[in-house]
Amino acid sequence: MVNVLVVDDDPDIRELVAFKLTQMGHTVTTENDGEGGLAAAIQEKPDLILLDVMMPKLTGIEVCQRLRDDPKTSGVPVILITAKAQEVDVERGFAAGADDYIVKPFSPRELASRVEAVLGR
Amino acid sequence: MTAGGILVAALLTMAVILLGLTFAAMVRRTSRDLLASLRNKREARIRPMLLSVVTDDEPDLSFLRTFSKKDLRIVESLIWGLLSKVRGSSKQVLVKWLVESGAIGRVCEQTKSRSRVKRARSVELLGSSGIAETASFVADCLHDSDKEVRSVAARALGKFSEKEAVVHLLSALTGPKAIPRSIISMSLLHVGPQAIEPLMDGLLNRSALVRSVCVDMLGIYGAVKATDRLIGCLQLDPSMKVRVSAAGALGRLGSPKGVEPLVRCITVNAPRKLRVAAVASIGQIGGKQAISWLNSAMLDVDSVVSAAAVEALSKMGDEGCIILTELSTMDLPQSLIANQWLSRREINLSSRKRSSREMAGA
Amino acid sequence: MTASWIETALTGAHDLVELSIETFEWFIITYFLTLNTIYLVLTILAIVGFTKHIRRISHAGHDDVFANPLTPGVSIVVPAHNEEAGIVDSVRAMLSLKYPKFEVIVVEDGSKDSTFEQLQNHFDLAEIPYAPAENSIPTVGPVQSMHLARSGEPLIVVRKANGGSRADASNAGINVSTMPLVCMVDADSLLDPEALLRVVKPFMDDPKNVVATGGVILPGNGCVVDEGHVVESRIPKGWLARIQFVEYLRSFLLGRTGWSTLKSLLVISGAFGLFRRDIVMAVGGMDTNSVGEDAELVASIHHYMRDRKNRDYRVVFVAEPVCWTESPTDIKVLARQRKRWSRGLAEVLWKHRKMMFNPKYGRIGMFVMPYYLFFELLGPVVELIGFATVTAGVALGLLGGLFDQNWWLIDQKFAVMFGLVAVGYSVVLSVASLTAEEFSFHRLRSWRDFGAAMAAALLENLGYRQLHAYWRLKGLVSWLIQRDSKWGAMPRTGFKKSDKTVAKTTKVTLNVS
Repeated sequence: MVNVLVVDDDPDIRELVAFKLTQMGHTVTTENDGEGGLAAAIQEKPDLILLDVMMPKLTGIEVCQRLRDDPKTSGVPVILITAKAQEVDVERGFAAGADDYIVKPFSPRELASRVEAVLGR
Repeated sequence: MTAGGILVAALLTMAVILLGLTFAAMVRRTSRDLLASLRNKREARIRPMLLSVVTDDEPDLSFLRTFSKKDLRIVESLIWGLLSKVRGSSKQVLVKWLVESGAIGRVCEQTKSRSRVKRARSVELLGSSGIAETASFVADCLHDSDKEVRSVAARALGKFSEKEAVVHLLSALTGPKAIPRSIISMSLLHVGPQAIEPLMDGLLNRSALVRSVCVDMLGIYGAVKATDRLIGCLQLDPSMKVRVSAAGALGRLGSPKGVEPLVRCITVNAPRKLRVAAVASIGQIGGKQAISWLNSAMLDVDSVVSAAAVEALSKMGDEGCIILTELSTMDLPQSLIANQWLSRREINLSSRKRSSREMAGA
Repeated sequence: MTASWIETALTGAHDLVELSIETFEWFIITYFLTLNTIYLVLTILAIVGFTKHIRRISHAGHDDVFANPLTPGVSIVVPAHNEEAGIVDSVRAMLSLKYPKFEVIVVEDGSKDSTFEQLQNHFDLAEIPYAPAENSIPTVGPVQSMHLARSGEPLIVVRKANGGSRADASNAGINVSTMPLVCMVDADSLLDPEALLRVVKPFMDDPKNVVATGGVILPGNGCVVDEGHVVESRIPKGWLARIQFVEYLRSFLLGRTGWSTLKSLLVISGAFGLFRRDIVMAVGGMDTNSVGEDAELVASIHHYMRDRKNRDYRVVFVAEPVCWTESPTDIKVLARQRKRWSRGLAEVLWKHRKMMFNPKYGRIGMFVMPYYLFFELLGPVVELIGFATVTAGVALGLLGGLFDQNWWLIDQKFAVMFGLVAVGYSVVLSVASLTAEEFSFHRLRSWRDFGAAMAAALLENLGYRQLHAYWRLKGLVSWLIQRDSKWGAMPRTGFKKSDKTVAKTTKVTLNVS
């Protein structure tokens, strides 16, 4: 049983991801912006975080950066959710400490395999 | 009618209008709130069902057959909304449902509707569906009488990721129903790498605008195999617009083959725009030859060109910096600019170093 | 003999006075009738233009603008003078705008407070040498230093000596900008996160012709603000602020949209406006001698483009909210603001008087500028005289009635007509604009807000407008007396973060239409 935190400002993606993860047997909490996500990460200490890159106020990459900076959350695996044609974000994401990424439009199968891969490491 | 009577009539009319407006606003508010809450209740019920099925490994939407008409309308609009957000088997099952329920057919018909808003909306929906068979309906709307519909069609066509779309999009750049360049370019970007071949064909188009767009897009796509053709455009194309685009594209492609032809553009007679683009591109490509040419470009008589050369040099590592440091000590107008770019570079480096230190420490 | 001569003279004088009173009455009625009918036409045009726009929002393709690598970059220029209280929040909010390519340029304009220190500490500023380009706009107050943010944000801070005008600071910022579009923003404006996407879209749809765009600006008093972004818009609490809310709705949402559909937009607010950089440089930047420098810029652009025989250029108004600004809650501050706006209008009209009634300048010269001259600038004179006369006349008449005397100097029918045409008609238009808002953006969530807005629409026409006319008259008079403007610094308080709502003075230059 794994606790997963999903942070995305798009309600459709948020719910799709949440449903898939629940199907896989995990418990899911969701947040709809970067700051809420950070606060939830510190408070609930999830086992995995899925972060959308393009969010208002605080982008996913910044959130990832801050998670790595804070010793309490630096060890949590992070998967970034990025849109097609934003490869620059992927590079920056890895530089900021992300473990993996999935691309929107969303593919449930890809999500499942990435999550399992990251949790397996 | 007496003057007094007219006044009274006017007063009454005004009062009536006032009441009417207020009443209309209130009715609109109430009805909107009511309809919205009813709709939200339905949606709240249906949405989780739909989403959880969509995320299944083998999604199956047959349960929808039991739904009522009103519910199905909500389902349909939810599905249209989800189409652009999912791919793979999830998307396929949604598309299949839309086709079977006749929704696709209806939307295709609406592209011929008399209302331009309906046409635009239906074209947008077809674009998000990405169903290959509907592409022709969207392509037809490229020639619609309404400007907005044409733009939406252009944006939608790229999402079909079909080679054939490129020809249609390029032809929409010219003529009385021309679509703005920025929209066509964005759409061409959506098509994907299979656009590169038709774009290279487009380099021979009669219209300078079309050639220029093709050149720009080949640069953005990073189509290295087009380098030779682009060099040809840079040197031989009769239109200055195309040559400037080619200069920019060669920088994006980054092939060292491009340096010499670009350098030959930095002649005194060439227009400023071309020279600035060439200087920036030489900087992007890099290499020893590039640095030595930028060294002379930075002393160019035209201040805009020399400033561009200084900027390019500042991004070319330590060698570029050595040259700039020397320049900053001389008493030339470019020295101040060189000094500024050196400072900028220092700041950028220190900020990057700091963030990587932070990450290593964490 | 002499008696009959005196009698004829007196009757003659009496007739003359009666005739002039009648003419005067007709003139007043015609004035108000014309004014409100112009508003009516603008309103109808706006509602049409704006319904079209709303139906298009669903397929506007803002996401494409965001993801397009060819989307033009925007330099956001923020003049800042004594803004220590809110500058960091403002800049942080601007840096998180949803747009792919932009830079924020803050021009610290000789502040006496810790504006610069705040920026320096928060963004870790490092100084770089200032290297002015050849064709820079000359600034009155010289630039002292230039700073970049070490934190990696696309932020530039320029420090300069105060040049006596906000336009001077804007020019310094424009000089440093590197992107093809410049956006002038007030330091205390709260921007919508998608603001840039919305106002850039016309540039992308029609790149050859669009030279400037503006969007809808609303009073942010009473809005719930979080980290510089408006989370929920509500109608403000004080009646003064509420009346301004209705005024902004009518003037911006409907007035400007209406003018824009006629391709006759003359004013883009200084609180948020987007311009092509090359055009701004070509007209010599903003006018440091004018307090209405934002309106002056647009007028200059019209002047410039038509001088070059360019008829296809467009100044576009985007009928979507982009920005929330502070409207004054203190009546004295409001009075000063409106007086300044009127003065600014006078300056602009005078500076570009060559365009007035000149067919070479098309609609702007033949219709828009005369409208602003007769109805916006000189209008207050007529309005005040009209209201004063009628109120006095009615009061006198009623008083006479008490004493069983006929003291009615003015025709009772005239008084009623006046009431209809000057007040009733206006109330109808205010309510119409609220109804239009209800059918379109329906921003007022609660019934209480809706009721308050309706009440404010009524109040606006019973007292506020008359006061407003008086303030505008003062502005005109001040300009007539002293043509040269010495712009004194406006006192600025900061963001009040205490209860997450905003309350401050504003320097938006807005000409009510």
